[in-house]
Amino acid sequence: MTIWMNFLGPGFTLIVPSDWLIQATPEIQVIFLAPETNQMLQTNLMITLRPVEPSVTVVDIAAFLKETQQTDYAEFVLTREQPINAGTIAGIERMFQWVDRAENMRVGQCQGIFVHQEVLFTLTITYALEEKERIQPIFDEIVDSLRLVE
Amino acid sequence: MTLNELDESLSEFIQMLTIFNHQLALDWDKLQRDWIECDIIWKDDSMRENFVREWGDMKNAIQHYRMFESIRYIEFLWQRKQALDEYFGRAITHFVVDELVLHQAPVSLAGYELDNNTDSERLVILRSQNVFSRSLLPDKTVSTSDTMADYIEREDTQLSDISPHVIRDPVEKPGNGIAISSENSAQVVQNISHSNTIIQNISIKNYLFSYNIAVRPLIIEHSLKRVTFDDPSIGFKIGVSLLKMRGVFARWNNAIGGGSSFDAQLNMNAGLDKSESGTSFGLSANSFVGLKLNLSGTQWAGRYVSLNGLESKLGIELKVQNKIAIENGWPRIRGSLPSIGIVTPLSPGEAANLMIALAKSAVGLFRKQSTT
Repeated sequence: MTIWMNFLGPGFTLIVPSDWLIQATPEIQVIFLAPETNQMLQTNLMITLRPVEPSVTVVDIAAFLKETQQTDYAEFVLTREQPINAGTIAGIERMFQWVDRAENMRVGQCQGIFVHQEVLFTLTITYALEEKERIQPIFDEIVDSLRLVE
Repeated sequence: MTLNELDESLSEFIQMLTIFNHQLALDWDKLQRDWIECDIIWKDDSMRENFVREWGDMKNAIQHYRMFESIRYIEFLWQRKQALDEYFGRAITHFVVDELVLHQAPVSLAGYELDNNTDSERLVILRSQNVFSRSLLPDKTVSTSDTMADYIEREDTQLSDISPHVIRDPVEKPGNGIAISSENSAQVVQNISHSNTIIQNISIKNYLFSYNIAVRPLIIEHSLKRVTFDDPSIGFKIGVSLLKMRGVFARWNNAIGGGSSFDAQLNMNAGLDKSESGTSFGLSANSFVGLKLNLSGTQWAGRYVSLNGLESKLGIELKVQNKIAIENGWPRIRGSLPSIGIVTPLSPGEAANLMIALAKSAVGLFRKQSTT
């Protein structure tokens, strides 16, 4: 059973499983780290906030991502791209897979992009592809609970 | 109703509410799964639309209660209960709410380590079942002879007297590690993280004289100033901050612990760094004049606090860094020319590059090394 706890971050709130480690760095506002499994990659969720130019929109960023991801990642496959909402703030969710050559491991990732009040809010979920079935419902719940402070 | 009856009914009610919250959590997981399944099965179906219309508000209400009210409400009840315990002269049980609702989440603390040699910030993750982040409480003076166990034990006894609301301004970092900030008072801060990492600072008013000794085994420590990440290293580092001056001419705080300030800063450092890649000795200096925006927050979950911060600078930064490094037995001079940087908001392309770098970091940071 997953026990959830509230997390209040700078400019956002969400819920996370209470047994996930919470970390932060100067560059990444929060990292949630799932308990270790026997997978080569520890499942994690990163959230960043960065100021952006006033005219920047999520559509602009998604367009740039499309151009560069294909060449930047080995065996890149975009599996889903759809609009998402954090409360009333609209964003874009991009789910993709690629191969980490260092360990020859298939990686699944999902990135949420929001721009609100000239701040880029990103949410990056990362997992070994074998973990997808188990992790997906947890991530869905986290993403569903996400609210940006308006 | 007598106070005894009130006490009894309050206890029963707390127990019921706790069970209810747990039950709700269970049901919520199931509801969430059902919801997802519905979403998959019912595509373009009016029945689904009706379902969402009729139950969407309920879902939002339950979610809101779970996110914002359940813990607060139990805390409120527990405060009343403790008041009664105090009235009756009984031993007060603290933090039961944590155990019931938060179930002692193993929280780790991430902090900033200002590298005296390179003047770059490093990530230091302090892992402890007993959450060391309480060192964020202001105006704490910690004896340098304390062990971590001593510290935690004393903090445990002191914590009950400290309101969570006194936690403020946690991102001030007058030196290495998570600093306990009080800009105008002398303080001795000791941060002990992983059992093999010790960082000590002595800060006197706005001047910082510090030394740090960091013996770093395979703990997570990466330089996050670059897109690529160093491997964890084994080594030690001794750094001396020759001069650290900071003038804050104006400051505007926000409600969550961050704020803006107009700063002038001058740092001079000398250090010896020995790691697997070699030994280096260097001098560095940097100065900054400009506006600093510090968007930060504390997460208050019972008594556990997690620090996170976003700092942006808009101003002129001058950096000089020179090191003599002994690598593979040969001395080399490594240095940088003075540079002036102005930090600006991201363009769409830069934002996209940031996201790509983040995605790679998320793998690089938490990938286990293959043993084959």
